[in-house]
Amino acid sequence: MSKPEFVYMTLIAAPPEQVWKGLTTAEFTRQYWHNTRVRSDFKPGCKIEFLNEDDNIVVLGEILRADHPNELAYTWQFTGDSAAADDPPSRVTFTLEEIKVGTRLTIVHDQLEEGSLTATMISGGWAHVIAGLKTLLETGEAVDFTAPEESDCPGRQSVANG
Amino acid sequence: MDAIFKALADPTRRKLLDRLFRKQGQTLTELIDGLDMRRQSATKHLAVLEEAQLVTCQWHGREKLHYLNPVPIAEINRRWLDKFSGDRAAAILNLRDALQENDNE
Repeated sequence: MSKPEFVYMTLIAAPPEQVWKGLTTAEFTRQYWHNTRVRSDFKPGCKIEFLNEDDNIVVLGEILRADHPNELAYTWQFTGDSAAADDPPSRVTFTLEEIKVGTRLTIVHDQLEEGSLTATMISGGWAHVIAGLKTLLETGEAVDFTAPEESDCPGRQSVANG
Repeated sequence: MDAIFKALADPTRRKLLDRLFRKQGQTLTELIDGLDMRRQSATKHLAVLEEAQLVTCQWHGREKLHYLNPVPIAEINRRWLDKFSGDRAAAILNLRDALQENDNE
């Protein structure tokens, strides 16, 4: 089966160059991409890594195409502690098209195994990552990853102050 | 954002989104299979959904495949829900789903 599994699209009021930067630099990714930092030379054959706060690699891949600032594709594999680490690598392709209002960003995540844990993990995750990128580039506002742990997590805090 | 709510304000369009949520990458024929809906009517509804970016399409040869694009819904989530903690909202939704499960099946 060669059909893409997930296709996401958004319009971002920023030029492709800026969106590319948002996807390929650690200072940007940590602000909207689950607090991870991307690391790669972004050349075909090079590896790409996403590091969490503890410098552990949480996603590992290989750059398949890097046509700056129009198209970026790499393989995708969860690593480390993730239970999805045993799934075979899948593929993510970003297409950036310049339009009047800025950039049309399309993300296709395919070559997934039917029903795999990776497929389950990414299905809802991308929408939040992309919405975060859009907000960051349009307003400069980063996603607040600390909030749920500090005061709003119902499991750890008593309801007395709610 | 008006376009999203306008698109979602119709039960037929919500039904089409439900079908895409269950199975991504469907052709028009596949999408309306078993539904009491003409192609022409479905095409119009899909155009409204595409306009609102809730549906996005990819061509595979001569086949136009439709995908549910959840990004606008994530934007709504960011604007009004994130501050109330995703964890708590998710817990309530899970509870609601669990309670309603028997009704839906």
